[in-house]
Amino acid sequence: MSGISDTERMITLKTVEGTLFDVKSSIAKDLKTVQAFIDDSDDDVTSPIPLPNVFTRELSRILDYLNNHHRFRSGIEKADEEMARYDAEFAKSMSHEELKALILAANYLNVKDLLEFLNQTVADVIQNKSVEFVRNFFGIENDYTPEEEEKLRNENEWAFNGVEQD
Amino acid sequence: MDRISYLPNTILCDILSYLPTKQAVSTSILCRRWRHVWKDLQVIDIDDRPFWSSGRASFDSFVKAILTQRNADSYPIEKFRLTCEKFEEDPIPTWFNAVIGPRLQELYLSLNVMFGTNLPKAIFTCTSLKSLVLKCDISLDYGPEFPDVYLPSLKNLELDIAHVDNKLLSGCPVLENLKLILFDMTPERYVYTPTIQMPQTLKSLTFEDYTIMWEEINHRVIDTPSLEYLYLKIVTSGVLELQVSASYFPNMVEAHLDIEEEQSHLDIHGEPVEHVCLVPMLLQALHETKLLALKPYTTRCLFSAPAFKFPEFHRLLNLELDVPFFNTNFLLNFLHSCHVLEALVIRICKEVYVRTMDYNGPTPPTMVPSCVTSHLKSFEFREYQDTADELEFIAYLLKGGLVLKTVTIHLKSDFDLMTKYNIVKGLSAISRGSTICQLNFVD
Repeated sequence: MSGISDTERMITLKTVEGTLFDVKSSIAKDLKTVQAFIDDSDDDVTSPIPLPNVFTRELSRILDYLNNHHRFRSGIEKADEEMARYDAEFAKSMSHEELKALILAANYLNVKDLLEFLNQTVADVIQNKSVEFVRNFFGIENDYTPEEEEKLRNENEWAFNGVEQD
Repeated sequence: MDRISYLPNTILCDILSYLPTKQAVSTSILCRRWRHVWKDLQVIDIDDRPFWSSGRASFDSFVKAILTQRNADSYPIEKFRLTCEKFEEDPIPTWFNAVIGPRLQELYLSLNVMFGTNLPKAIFTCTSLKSLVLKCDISLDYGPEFPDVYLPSLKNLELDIAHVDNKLLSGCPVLENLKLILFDMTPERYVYTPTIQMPQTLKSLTFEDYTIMWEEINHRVIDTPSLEYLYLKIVTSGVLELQVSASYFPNMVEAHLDIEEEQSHLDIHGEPVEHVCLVPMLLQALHETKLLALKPYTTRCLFSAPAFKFPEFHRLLNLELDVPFFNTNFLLNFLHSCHVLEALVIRICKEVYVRTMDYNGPTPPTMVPSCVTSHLKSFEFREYQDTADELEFIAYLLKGGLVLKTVTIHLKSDFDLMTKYNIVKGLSAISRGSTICQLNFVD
């Protein structure tokens, strides 16, 4: 990678598949789990840091997001529009499977802003959808007995009226 | 395999916080893992719309159930949003008191209230509150003495109401954003507010005032030196009733003025009264702004204001002028005072009444304004009427604008096809001072 300043250290991360990613230390700070590891090692980390729960596809997306957001923040005023456009594209470009996988990775790596953005994206997908749709989206198996479910629906019937029927 | 559901409640609640609370509660039925998740939610968003057919009683049970079933002690409410479009009677029931807690940061109420209000006074001393939005058809009427106000964390305040008490504005020591829309009330419920004083800490102010009282003095004080954004709309039937005090705004970035002043004031002999329009004073206070947008009633004042001299707008980059009629001298005088102007938009608003189409200002200097030669990059003309004056002005800019990039002409909608064709042909043939200048036409 080119354009590295003297003060900017590079950290190497290794995904489940063994792919190596070189990351600027300023970006690594946003991966709080990685930063904690670096802090715990007394700042003396040379070998690649293994990320046993993170796949290449997800890490690549996360770093793309962070690099772009750093770029938007350091630039001039007009970046808000560009950032909104980037975020919209980012959200659209993923399937539901990829979105969920990314949440798990962002949670493991503790990337706060990205995680909030992903959660909002999930909310947009499930908003005003039926219970069945939401179960399907998450891959939830309904473990209520029919009697339990009936009782629950009656207790708070106002919460269930008017929702899209399955 | 469902791995998301086995993430901690904090993440699941974050997802639910972006949903209407009604739907959030319904997630209890997804499976056992989800049964109690919604109860940790600290963001509540309630809308009465789904209950319009089932009625007020079911809406009330819905809200009560949410507030009683949730884990209020461990998870106090941080954001509360209530939109009540239909139900009018006694809109603030007792359950509302449970909402105003020690961790409440954002409160948004959009209510359809008919008869006064009893918003709990505790709202006005909620020390954790950062944002308060009240959109109500009410006058926040607490009788002769408005309750004490102390909102030390409040940065954002939006009031879309009929009347504001100065105690509310002065009780917010760190307020940065204020949106205040005062609308007209029926005569019986009208409250005359002689003076309204904006908090001095403001960075952004949107103020629309339709309550100026006829034949009384109305004073509006905008003494806010940190102000960066201003949108000011005041409707008044006579200039003598309104006084606006505005400080100098060194940090102004964007200013929009829409001041509607009736001009025909007659003295006891029936003669027109000479007045000093408040628009010149405001423009002087705004002379550091980077963007200035003037609506047609505002510019109308400037045409007739005696001896009005434009202040030097030495940072102005964007100028949007709505004018009641086209006048070359007026525009040139304006351009001479904007030394670094990069974008100019002119719109002719013929619907604005004028007694005469005279401009009482001085004749502009003969040389081309320096902003035209060295800075102006874009020019837009809306409602182009194709008069001789307008044509001459556009030609003047095309020839003198040495760094112009785009010129956009919006043709009047009722021109026929042949006329439009001739206009386009004519304007396109004018020689341009800038080699990169593109001429665009919009129907």
